[in-house]
Amino acid sequence: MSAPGYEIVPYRPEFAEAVARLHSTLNPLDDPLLSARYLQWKYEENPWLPERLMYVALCDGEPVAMRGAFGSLWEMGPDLQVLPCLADLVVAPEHRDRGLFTQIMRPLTAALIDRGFPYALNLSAAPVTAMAGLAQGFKSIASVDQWGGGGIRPPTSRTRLFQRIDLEDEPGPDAMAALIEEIGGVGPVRHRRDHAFFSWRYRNPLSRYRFLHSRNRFTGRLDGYLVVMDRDDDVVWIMDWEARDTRIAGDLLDAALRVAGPRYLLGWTFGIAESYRQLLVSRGFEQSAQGFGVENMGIRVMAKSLAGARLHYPDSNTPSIFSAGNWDYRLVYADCF
Amino acid sequence: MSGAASVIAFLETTSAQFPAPIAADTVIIESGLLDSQALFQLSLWIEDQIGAPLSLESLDIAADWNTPEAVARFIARARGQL
Repeated sequence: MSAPGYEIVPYRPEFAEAVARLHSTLNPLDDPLLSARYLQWKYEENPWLPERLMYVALCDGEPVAMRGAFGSLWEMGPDLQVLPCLADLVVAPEHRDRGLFTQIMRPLTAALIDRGFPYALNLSAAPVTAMAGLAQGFKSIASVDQWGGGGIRPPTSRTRLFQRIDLEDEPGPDAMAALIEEIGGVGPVRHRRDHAFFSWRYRNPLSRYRFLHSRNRFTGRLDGYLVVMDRDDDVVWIMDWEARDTRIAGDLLDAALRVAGPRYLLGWTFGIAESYRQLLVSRGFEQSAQGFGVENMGIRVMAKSLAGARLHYPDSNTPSIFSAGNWDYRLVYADCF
Repeated sequence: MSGAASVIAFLETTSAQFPAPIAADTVIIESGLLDSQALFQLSLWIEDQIGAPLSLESLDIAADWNTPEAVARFIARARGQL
């Protein structure tokens, strides 16, 4: 049942301009053209679900609220699963608290079930969205751990005979994918980080990324990387961080501290490897205290089982997506940066 | 004031816009009457009522808070009164 005056419809290209205007309230520059490019990148150019899977609430024919689901590819133990991630919830201020969130979610959820997805994810639910998600049958898997540090001058790394670190503006998807293929990850539930992911993910037009690549001086082989998101403000975000060994990982973290300079370096994670946690602690990083209750719930990772989906659910040997202990979560998986 | 009546009294102070007066058995969650900001306000109020933080990992809002009566029962249970 729609509230009087509202019509909930699937996204259509003729809404593009109005939807970009609506979305621009979320983007840091409040720029509809930038939002239009962002939505094009996130949905139509998505490698796994290349369509604008989005529902829009119309009032007098004008979009006043929206919610989308973009594609992602997950490793769940030995299985690969394309899963939709809910994102881009906007309700124009004058239309809030009229049940539009629930009304948009109904046909969107039905569309996800119709496409056969077993689960839907929300990878960075802020408190209000998280509570609304719980009411829609989402389960909270975990709140992300936020690590922060910086404003220090790390000791200059000892000259490494075999390694060099380059700061670059391009990701180098082939080498990054090859490294991940070789070293794997921590938990059995994680986003597939392959060539398609690295090529697509870092084209987000709302963010500017810088890539620290640790390479063997002689062979040029990529032995580690650390990606930061830098919008030239007070905080630099660690998007992803991988290395062949802890020494290389430590050098990359020191290089990131130098890139951040006097600014704060922040990262979100859960399921981080103990060796990486120790590296953060040794450089003075602190984990934000986990609060209790609704007010201090932080950013949540949530999932919903889409009962009635046509495709098979992963079998009983597949690690459960609802168990936080199975996850290897990084900021690069979330869509907010 | 009964448990459900105090829930209704609180709901009327939230930012939610209800098309008709709320009764003890009005479906507020599955109907979508309460979502986003007002639902968040309700959860903070429930925490105040029970004097303890909610455990989000075990919360089933659609089942436990679907009507003002259900919310009142949830609060009573959490206080150990049922």
